[in-house]
Amino acid sequence: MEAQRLSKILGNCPKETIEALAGPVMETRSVSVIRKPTKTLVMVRMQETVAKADFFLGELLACEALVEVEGQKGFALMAGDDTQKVLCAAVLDAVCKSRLPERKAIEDALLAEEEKIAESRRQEIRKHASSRVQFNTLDVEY
Amino acid sequence: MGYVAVTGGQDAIDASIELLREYRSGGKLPVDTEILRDRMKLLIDRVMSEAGLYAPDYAALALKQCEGSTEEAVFLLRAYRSTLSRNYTSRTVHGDEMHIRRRISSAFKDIPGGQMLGPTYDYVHRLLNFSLTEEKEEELQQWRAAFEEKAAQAGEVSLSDTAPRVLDLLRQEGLLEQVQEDRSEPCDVTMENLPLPAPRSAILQTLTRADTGFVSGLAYSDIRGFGMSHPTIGELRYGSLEIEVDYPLEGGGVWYVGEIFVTEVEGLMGARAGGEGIGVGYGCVFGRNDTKAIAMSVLDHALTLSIDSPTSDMEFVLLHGDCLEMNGFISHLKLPHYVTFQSKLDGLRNRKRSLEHEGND
Repeated sequence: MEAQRLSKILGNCPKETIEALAGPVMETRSVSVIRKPTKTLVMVRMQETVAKADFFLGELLACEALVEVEGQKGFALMAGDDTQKVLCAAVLDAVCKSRLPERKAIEDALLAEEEKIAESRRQEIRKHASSRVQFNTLDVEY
Repeated sequence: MGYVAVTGGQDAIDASIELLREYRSGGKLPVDTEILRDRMKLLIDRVMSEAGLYAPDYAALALKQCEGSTEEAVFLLRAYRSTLSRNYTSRTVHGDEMHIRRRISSAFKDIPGGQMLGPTYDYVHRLLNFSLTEEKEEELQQWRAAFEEKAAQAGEVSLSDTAPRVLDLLRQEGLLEQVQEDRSEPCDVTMENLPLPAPRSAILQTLTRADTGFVSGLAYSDIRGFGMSHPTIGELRYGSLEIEVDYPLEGGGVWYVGEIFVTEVEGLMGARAGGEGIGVGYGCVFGRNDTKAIAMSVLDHALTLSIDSPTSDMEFVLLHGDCLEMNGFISHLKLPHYVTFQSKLDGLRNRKRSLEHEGND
């Protein structure tokens, strides 16, 4: 699974799910923490529309970790300050790039989570859709 | 005249700080930061925007710590932010990638993708709802469950939550003012002094983290006649943007960090004197804050005009709107200025004596 897809699932997954998936790996595999979970800042670079100039919108509080699982490095950077969640996410990143036998089951579980996340997004869209509006002008049509 | 330090008062200062805690703990119910975060969202948004730090939990904590003072909360977040290292800069984010929760245009009634009011106070009666004093959490949760159910049963709706920009239509038609593209590396005003005249990136960064009241007040003055803006909202959109960075490990790629909610505005400001095409002002702020985003777009455009107006004076607009700086400066006036003020009095007395002496002569 490519990093973008994996990170999007992990970033929207409940902490409990990530811990439940990473926990057994951390108990049974050789896991070393290269960069312990640390708070950091991500500067958001944005492009405006008038001159298409990039500017800095502000900073996002995030948490990062770097681990090695059976010789395979794993990384995670997640919005917020949850150090435990980011550590577990880094472990899962490593597993998903490894040839460990746990990989298949973990990826299957994450794909199931991806569907739940997608359904949650669809529900958000439905909730807002009823506020779609069609204004009509009186007398004059433009 | 330089400043002269004072000493003493430590016991009184300690007692004052203790009193703050006493004031903060008034009443019988504790302030839960989760409640602040989840149910005072607009306040949280404002604090994050003015602090320039997207951290809802910490904004709630800051508000709890300082009895709900936005200026103190911004100070706390800025101070905390300065203790962290910034290890990443996101990939460039574009507003048209937004997952939209609100999107309106006051220029066009029919826009591609449609208008969606989303959550807005624009159409509510401003009447105090006294029934909220008796609101039961259980009933509220039941209502939420019913609302979710109603939405789930709503049937097929468009499941896309992105939309093209409204003004792209006018761009394609060539009706907007031609502006030279600016592909320069952005200036970061948190890392370097604001250069004057400021590059576009510094203007936008300064405005987006400016005090909401200051930005809104200046934009209001501009529209009322102290400037030249006659804005129409081409498009206002609110929703979430996905923040991504480069994946640092072998193989590269993109890593999704999370999402931030922003309000983005493209304001149509009218044609400038002697110019062709409609000028556009741009605003984008953290959180749900229509007023600040619109006001930012007004000032963004006003700062491009060469007219004698306060809102077109770059130094005036950009150097006086930072929440921390303005409140810090005003606040410092409360601190002891005994020697400087006595010096002023001495000068006045000397002058008076001198005049009296001349009169006697």
